[in-house]
Amino acid sequence: MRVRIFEKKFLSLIRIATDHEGFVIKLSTNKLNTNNVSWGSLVEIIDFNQGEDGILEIDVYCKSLVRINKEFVGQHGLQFSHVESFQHWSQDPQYLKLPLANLTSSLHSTIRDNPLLNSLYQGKKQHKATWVLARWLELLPVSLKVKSSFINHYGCKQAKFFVETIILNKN
Amino acid sequence: MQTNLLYQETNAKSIKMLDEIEHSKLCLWLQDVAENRNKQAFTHLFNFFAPKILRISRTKFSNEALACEVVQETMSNVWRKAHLFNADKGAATTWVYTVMRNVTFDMLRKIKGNKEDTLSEDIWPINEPVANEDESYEDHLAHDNLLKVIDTLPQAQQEVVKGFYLLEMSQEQLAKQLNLPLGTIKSRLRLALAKLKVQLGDYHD
Repeated sequence: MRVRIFEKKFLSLIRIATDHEGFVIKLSTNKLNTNNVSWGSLVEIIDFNQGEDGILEIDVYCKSLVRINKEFVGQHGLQFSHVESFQHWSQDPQYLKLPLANLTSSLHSTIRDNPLLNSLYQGKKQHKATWVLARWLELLPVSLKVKSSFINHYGCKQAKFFVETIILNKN
Repeated sequence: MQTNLLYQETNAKSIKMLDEIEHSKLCLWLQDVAENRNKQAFTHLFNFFAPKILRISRTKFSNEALACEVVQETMSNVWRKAHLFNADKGAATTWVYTVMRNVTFDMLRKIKGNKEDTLSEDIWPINEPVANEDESYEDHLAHDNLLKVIDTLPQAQQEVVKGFYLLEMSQEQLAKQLNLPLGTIKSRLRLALAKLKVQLGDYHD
């Protein structure tokens, strides 16, 4: 995934992350009482460049999903926490070839038609069913609570049914 | 009339001069309090400052009791901290009024803090409200408004904002992409969420 670094505190983040194991991307909402998501993606910086507008762009690769324990705000307003990685269905090889019918092609055309998404997902892995499902869950306009439920409660099959109902109108 | 006016002017000047004369006296009293814990000197200080402090604090607090508390607190600070007064650095009055100002600020701060405590009990429900069922399929990012505002930004800035904060698509974008009416997308989202709940029962985070 390509991330644009346009805030000073994120430059500090990069500096710290390169000295350590990477950093964690966590989804959040600015609604009160609902911003406590206790998981995130531990990512590694695999490439960087300067965009046309001079803004630093980095490509990150998700090493694993992590549980975020108690966070604290440290230097530069960045959040720090102890994390532990956990296994998630999106990494389970048994689902790689799960038949997805038209979900793959519709994701492909959605990304292709949207330059922003096209540049965001640098390494497209559309041959992996888990990658396709995870991207759909990312893109669908459902609340963070629902998205989180596919981390904490529901498995790959439920994710597939969910996305199929919305995209393909499968009952 | 003329005599009266003249008299008043003269009187005003004399109060000022009296203050100036008393300045060295105040310093001596403070010194006496600091070095000898002299209660008599403190009584003089109290008689001089107390009415003045009370008058000023009445303008800051509508409550008479609070105004009196400022006097008491200030004067007990003066008693405890008299040794910190340095006549070379400024007048005794300046020092005492600074002590008073700090006391006043502390009290105002305390009142403000208390006010928030009282208020929060009223407005903070003990049990967090259960998320509204409708919310989950309403457009929770308020895209309508947000995207409109973002669209007014110059292209480069738009990409900055969208690139980081808006990974997901709006219902409108999804409808357009799938070539379906917005209503269809909304009802499919609703259906998918309902089915999800049935599959595993309601979950609690």
